[in-house]
Amino acid sequence: MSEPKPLPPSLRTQKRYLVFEIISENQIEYGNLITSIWDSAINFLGEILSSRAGIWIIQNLYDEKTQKGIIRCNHEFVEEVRTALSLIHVIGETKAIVKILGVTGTIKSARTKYFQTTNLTAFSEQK
Amino acid sequence: MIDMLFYDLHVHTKESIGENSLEEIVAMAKKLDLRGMAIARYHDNITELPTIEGIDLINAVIVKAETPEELNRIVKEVRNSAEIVMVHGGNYDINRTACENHMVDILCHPELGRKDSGLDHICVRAAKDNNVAIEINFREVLESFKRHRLYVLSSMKNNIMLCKKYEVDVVTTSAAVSKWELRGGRELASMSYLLGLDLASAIASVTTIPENIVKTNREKLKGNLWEGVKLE
Repeated sequence: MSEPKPLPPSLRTQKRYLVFEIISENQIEYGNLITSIWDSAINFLGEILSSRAGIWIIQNLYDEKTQKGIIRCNHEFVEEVRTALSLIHVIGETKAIVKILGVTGTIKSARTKYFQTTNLTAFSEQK
Repeated sequence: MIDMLFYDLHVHTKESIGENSLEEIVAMAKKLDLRGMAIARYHDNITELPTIEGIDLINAVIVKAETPEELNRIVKEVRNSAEIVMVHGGNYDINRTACENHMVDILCHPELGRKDSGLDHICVRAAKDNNVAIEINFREVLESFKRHRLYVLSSMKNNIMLCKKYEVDVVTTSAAVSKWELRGGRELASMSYLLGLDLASAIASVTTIPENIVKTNREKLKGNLWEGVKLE
């Protein structure tokens, strides 16, 4: 099946990668994390701002052991996404805090600074 | 990159209305990279705070009064034993009296339980003259939902607009009653930024402004600083 071609750099939206860590009472499930993030974003930002923020949770960059992950968003909405994440207080049935470790412009720099690795394969292949 | 020193000037423990002990709160604050934390107790329950390595614990007293006269009397009583004096806001008369009292450091949640923002230009001008900071209370947003949250955000936005106009300091706090309500300083700042502060002021509301309030009061308590006079 054909797909659209990648856009030229001048037409691409600029992205930022928020590296986050979940501090929680118990281990949280990835599915519950996704639900909490989307619920918080839509409740706080509304549908239109959430869509403009371009939130994208990168599944193969989430480490269940350390509960660290990366969320992509548009560069103009970093503070909005940060606040939406800070308003999460429960994930599933577990009390939790989402701590933003930092914001980077590329996945590679996020992994170098916050995961101490430059290998771009998934976490599961690193073990 | 410069490391920012984050302060949370309103945190409750079991000694007041909190759910967790001081040790649990401090452990969570360290995980969230907070440099300092004001442990808030009500004026009838003030005790010494221990010194804990790695975090600056600040002795904060919340004055909750029914009338302006009672407020002024209690503030005068606690001023010499507290590093920060905060007033439990919400009632307009209390809000205004707090803004007019130079011994008050922070007016907490002036919009609490109100349909309006709790402050007007007269209060904010008085707050500027008396160096009273206005608090943006994160827990109010966290614990509210749907329409109530909209009212809370709208009131806070209005108060920030007034503070910007009259150049009054804004302090953003978590007002946590549980360790799970604590937040990192940068996250608190982002809430204030979305409510209308520029980014530099929003970050200052959790870094330099709280730090300066604490530093000044500590100098005053040691006797090194009076109105218009500073001992080197």
